[in-house]
Order: sequence, then structure tokens, then C-alpha cells
Amino acid sequence: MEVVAEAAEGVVNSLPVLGAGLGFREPLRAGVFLYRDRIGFLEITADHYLDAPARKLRELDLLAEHFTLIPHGLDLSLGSAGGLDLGYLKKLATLIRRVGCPWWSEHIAFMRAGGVRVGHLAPLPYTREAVDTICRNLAVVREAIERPLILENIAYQVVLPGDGRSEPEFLAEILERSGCGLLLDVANLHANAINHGFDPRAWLDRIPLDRVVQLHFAGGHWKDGELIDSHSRKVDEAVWDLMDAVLARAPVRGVVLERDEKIPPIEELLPDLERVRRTGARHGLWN
Amino acid sequence: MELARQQAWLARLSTDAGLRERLPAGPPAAGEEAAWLAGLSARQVEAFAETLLRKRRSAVRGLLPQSTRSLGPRFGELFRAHAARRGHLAPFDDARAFAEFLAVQPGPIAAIARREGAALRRGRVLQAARLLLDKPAQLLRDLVAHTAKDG
Repeated sequence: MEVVAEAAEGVVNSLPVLGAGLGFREPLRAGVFLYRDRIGFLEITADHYLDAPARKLRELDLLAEHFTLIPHGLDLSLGSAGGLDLGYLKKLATLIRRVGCPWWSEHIAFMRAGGVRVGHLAPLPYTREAVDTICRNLAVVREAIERPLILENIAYQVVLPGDGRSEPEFLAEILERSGCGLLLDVANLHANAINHGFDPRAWLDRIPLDRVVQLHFAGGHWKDGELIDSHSRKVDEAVWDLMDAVLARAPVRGVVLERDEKIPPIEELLPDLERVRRTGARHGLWN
Repeated sequence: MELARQQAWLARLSTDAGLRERLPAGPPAAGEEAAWLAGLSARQVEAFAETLLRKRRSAVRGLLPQSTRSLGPRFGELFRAHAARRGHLAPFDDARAFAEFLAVQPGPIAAIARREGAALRRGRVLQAARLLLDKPAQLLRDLVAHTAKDG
């Protein structure tokens, strides 16, 4: 296991530094080209290109000519006890080959079970069986896709009965056994800390920060006293504080701003990228 | 209880409003499944289900803009009624099913939804035709996989 962890650390250190990036969404298409020099890289939603017509794939190729693209998967369902959809995995592998990315990402979650599609990232129980399941599925993924995969912590509303493991222990065990890097979503961490009443900084102390490759951040909204990770609003200062704390301690290669609802003109998002760039530069991660 | 059963329960609970309504009165299962269900927070499960509903609603709004505008504030209430009858569907299928649901509602929305639902179906046929031209092998694989799943 130590050998896997050391090899993973080597892989993380060999990944390129990309800086401040943006989650690509169609309404931002013209803007990303207009402000090409202010965007370090783009994260694309892999699922949008898996069954895409030629026109959309040409758009993808055009994006790839101008930006480093990081595919971000939604529907692989790495935590499914029933195993992976191999047809989906094959399409994902084709996309990742086409894009030629330095790494790609997916979530520590499940999307379908018992013949039911949940339609959203569902949490796993923090158990040995769930760790085994993820690692078994990851071994299948590795057979199909050689590019480094990094795994994202999700925002969860339901806590499933576990076997005594905490979320940081659960994540650390998966990262250590699989050799994957971490895509740390600081907005998810903030929402979970608010909704489930824990200290996010103590949480950070318990995960292997040396394995953090990329960050996500976004703004959510409040509903019935709960913070919803909707990627729909301005980023909360508490999320910026968490990001600063991580960038001070982790070898982060890139940070992505996500916006999925109420997408504003790109000019309103660029100051956030500039703030990320300055924060990373202050911590010596990039210029 | 093994992980596969836990996941199947969460998937059903989060997409089946009727099943959730029965949860506070006592777990709708026996033995170790009942013990596991008793460890869930009904409030948390309901909140998760609301998030799924919100996500579905948002996708369908984008696919049925005219119906959405015509319904105004009634959209949320009618979508909730539709969602309670149908489990989770992929966005396109959800929009088509919602248009069918609206097409039998009283008032002018019925005609608007019928027209928009038909446009959606035409768009899907066009998309399949494009896929046939662009990637015939993939379309064939998808059709075989779909047929095997249905069978």
C-alpha cells in the first residue's frame, strides 16, 4: 500500500501547473475565446460530449486547440456496488483520448442502484465495503483509461449509517489504496460543514493534503436553513478562506470556478479567476 | 446489510415520494433492512429528494421554455405532481413526459404543451439522424444495449 501511495505522490508531482480555470458551459462559449489570456484552463463536463453530434465535437476540438481541457465526469457511478456501465466507460475513454488531458476527474458517489437512476450524486456510507467497491471499480477504470484520475468529495445531504469511519478517514483510505489524487471541492466542504455541523479546518487536517491536485469552488443558496451547493450564486467569503487555507498547504495544480445556474456574463466571473491567480501566486503555486 | 441493498434503498427513497411518506411511521421493511432504515434521517432523505426534484425541474424548464413561461408560478406545483407519478427520468424523457402530463390539463397550457412536446420529439428524431450520419457504429451499439436492457 505504501508503494501505491508513493507512486501516486510521484504522479501528482509530475502533473502540470494550470492555475485558475473555469468550468466551461455553452453560454460562456464566446467569452472564453474573447478572454483567452485570462483563463488558465477549462474543465469540460465529459457527459456533454459522449453522444455528441459532429458539430459539438468540432467545438470540442476548437476548445482543445486553445485551452488545456480537463474532462469532469458525472455519471460513471464509481461507488455502485453493481459495478460500472462498461459502455459508458468506453465512451469516456474515447473522449479522454481525443482531448489528450493531463488528468481527468470523477466523484466519490453513486448515481444508480437497483435499476433506479438517482439523477444526482448520491453519498456512500463510510464503510470498508464501500472503500472496497470504489477500489474494485477503479481497477476496471484503469484498464480502460491510463490518464491519471482524481476523485472529488461531494456535497451530501444524507448521512448513511457507517461502520465508525469518518469522512476524512474514508477519503484517505480510498486515495491511499487507489493511488488517485484528490479533487477537493471547497464549496462542498463548506456546505457539508454548515449543514452537518463540523469544523472544516479540522476536516482538512485529517485528509492527505499532499494528494490534492485540483480544487473546485462555487456559490450556493440557502433553502429551509440548509446551504445547497447549486453553483448558482456569488462565492461566499468562507469558501475563499477555505481555498486560501488549502492553497497554503497543498501542491494544487489548478482551481476551477463552477457556475451552472444563473450564469452571468463572463466579465462577472473573471475577477474570481484573477483572485484565484493572485492567491495561488502568493502561496508560490504559480506566477 | 450489504452495500448493494443500501444503495437500492436510498435510490428508491429519494425518487419515490410515496415510499418517503411511509418512512416516519416506521421502516417499510423488516430485519436488518429495517434497522438500517431506522438509522436514516427522514428529514435528510426528504432534503435530498428535494434537491433531485429541483435538478429535474431546472432541466425540464430549459427544454420546455414556452410551457414554463405560460405556467408561471404554477410550474412548480404541476411539476411536483408529475414527478410524484413518474420516477427519475433522463432530462429529455422527463420533459416529454411532463409535456404529455400538461397536455391533459385544463386551459390553454394543454395546446402549448402538445406543440412543444411534438417539437421535442421531432428534435430527437433529427438528433438520431445526425448520429446515424456521424457515428453509425455507436448508434448501433446503443440500440443493441437498449434492446438488451429492455429485454
